[in-house]
Amino acid sequence: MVYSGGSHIRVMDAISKEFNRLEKDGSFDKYIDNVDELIGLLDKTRNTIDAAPQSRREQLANLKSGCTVWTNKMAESQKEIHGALSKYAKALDKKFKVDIEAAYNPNAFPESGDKLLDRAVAMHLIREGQFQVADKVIQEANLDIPGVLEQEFMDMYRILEALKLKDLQPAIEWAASKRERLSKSGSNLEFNLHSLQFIHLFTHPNGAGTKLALQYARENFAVFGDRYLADISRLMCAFLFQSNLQASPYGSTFLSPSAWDDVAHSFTKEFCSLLGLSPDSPLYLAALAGAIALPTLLKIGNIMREKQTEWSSENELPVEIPLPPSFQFHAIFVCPVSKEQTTDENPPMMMPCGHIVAKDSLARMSKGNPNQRFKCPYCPNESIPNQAIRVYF
Amino acid sequence: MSKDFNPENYILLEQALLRLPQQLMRQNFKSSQKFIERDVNYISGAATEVLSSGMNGTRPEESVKQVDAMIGRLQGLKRKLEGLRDEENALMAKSKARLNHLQDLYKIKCVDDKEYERWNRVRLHRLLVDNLLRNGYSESAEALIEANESIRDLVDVDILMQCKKIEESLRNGSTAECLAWCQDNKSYLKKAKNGLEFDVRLQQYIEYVRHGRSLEAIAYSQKYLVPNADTNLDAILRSSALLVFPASDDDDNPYKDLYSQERWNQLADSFVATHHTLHGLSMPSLLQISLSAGLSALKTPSCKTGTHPISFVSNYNSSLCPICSPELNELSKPLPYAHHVRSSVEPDPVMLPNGRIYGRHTLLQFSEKAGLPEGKVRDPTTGDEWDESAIRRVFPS
Repeated sequence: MVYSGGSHIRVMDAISKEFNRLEKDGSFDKYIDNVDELIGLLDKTRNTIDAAPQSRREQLANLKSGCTVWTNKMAESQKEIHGALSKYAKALDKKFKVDIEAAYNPNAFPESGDKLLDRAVAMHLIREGQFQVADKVIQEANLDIPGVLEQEFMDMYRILEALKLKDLQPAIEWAASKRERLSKSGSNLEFNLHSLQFIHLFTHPNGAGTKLALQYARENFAVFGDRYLADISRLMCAFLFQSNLQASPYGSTFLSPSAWDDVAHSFTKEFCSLLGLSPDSPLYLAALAGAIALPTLLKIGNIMREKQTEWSSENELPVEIPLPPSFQFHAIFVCPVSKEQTTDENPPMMMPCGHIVAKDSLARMSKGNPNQRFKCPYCPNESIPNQAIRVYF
Repeated sequence: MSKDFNPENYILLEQALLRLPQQLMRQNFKSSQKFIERDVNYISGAATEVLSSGMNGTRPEESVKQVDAMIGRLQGLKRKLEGLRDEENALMAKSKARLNHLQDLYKIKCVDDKEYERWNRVRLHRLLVDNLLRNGYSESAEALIEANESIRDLVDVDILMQCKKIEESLRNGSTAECLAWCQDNKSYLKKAKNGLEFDVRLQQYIEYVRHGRSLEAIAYSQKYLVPNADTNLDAILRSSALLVFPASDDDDNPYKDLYSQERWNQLADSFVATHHTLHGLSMPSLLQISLSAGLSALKTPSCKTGTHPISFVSNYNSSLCPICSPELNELSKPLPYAHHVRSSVEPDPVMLPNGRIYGRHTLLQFSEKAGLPEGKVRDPTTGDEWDESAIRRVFPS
């Protein structure tokens, strides 16, 4: 399953080669041409006999040999098509020997959780904005998903559509209505929307922009004075550079090409977050992580099958899956002593010196006695297990 | 962390994409063989016949009539072959689209390539269609295809719908549809020594007995079961005893297993398994296989495992983790978590008095964004606030 570069012929090239041959040699058109040809001969025979009955013997003898030729031709065409089809099939057989079910964890999707996957699929479609498809799934799978969720996402897509048309008003209204919860979570979305609106007016090509922007700032920035004073003054300084914004220190803020995408992205994030949902569809992320993980699990699965052992009953995968950093959502703490990940049952504990190990390791180092003094494995400090405190990553 | 992207490892996972149309082309070719064989035999016989009757001095009009019959027959063959050709062309077009879809993987350099993301969006759509069809949600599947026309050639609607129909007919106690399918795939079943047809026939026999139609049962058994005596003798012997033990719900009926309605579900499952093996389809859908791997690869011991009620409009929860999300949390429960050999925590970790550890930069930035006065920090998880002096450095590794 490991392919190295160099002289290796790519799998798809080998398959494509046979497929191209199949396209060329495998067409049923030649059958039809053969049949047409014989129909032509039959027509001619019939018409000649009809017009000149005395030629009948010669015509029929000719027809008989024509039919023999046709039979052979049909057989030949069959052989060609069959040959091309089997070569293509063989190319697939040769390249696709692996049974991908070896990577499947049979404990996944127990029957008791029948509707969970359907539900996840429907939720995915809703957050992708494919509402009609989602409705069909909800109906056919007989799911109970509160309509309010779909309403929320319809609202989100309405606001995003407006943003695409550079209309910030719906987003600003939404952010204002959620002001308290947004600021509690440390979000700057509302102010950022107003800034973008200000910049949008300021850089408007019709020339009246600066005046409108100034008016906008007077009307809208006051409430943000406490928290965003520095940002506001920065924006206001733009008036000093308006003749040549591009070259000014404000060029990058004011003319950033990604500003609209950024604000749409951060709006989506905040919107989903207030619903208790992640901004990217979890189903998409999990399927993507699965695609990345499968080749490795397939390899392990096949080795395990040969050894007739199972990995699927363990509570940890047998092998590390190298996912890109963007797939990490929690801190990972592996106890430097036991090399095990900490869990709720075996949590991370910090010794007075600031070094952290798993609880089990602590017990092992102190021989199970909570008042036994022991030396930290990483520094000269000594402590007792009772002094260690539970920490949370 | 290796990010070397080897497209071939990913292509292997998608083998059903090419296998299925290839399988169908093979079947299509077999149908053509059947038609051609029949008509080739007819034509050579008819050509001899028309010649010899012409030599024997029949009227010329008679010969013309005979030739016209041959033309009619060939036109029939042509129509059938044209139908099969269209089918074949459609399968070729499908295969071609799939080859191109797989070839696209060679353009990808690494897994965080934007192209790979785009490719995977298409992949997810076709996996969803496949999974919907396997569940029999054909309207949903069609709606999803209509919304994403580019995947039409990448999904196998007809074959999965047909499979579901036959499966359902078995679950509803009807054998006809499945037997017709067995007939169509006779040579495969024989080669694979697959016992599906016998089992379905046996069930039909049991139904005759159940409904007191003993004579039909005996005739049916003689016709369809007894010829399999060399491989299924025990089952045949046992089933004949049903004639003296009528169907009953008594616990002591020694044949209650044969009378059990559950057998229909077993037949349905066994049909699906046979069908999928024949067409090179995996038993769990590729969506299920991918998710079983993906959920585990993402899962950590810190992912919420408690029994949270799934609420869609919850209060404060900015978690971005897909496993912690209400959609997948429950699904990921039966699965193991990812294996890690190295810690991966934010740089410059510091601890708050409540034991929570964050990267110093993250903590200070969050607190500043939250509008806290300088020198104050807020725990992003719990919302508690402290003086900056209360935080201390920790050494996780």
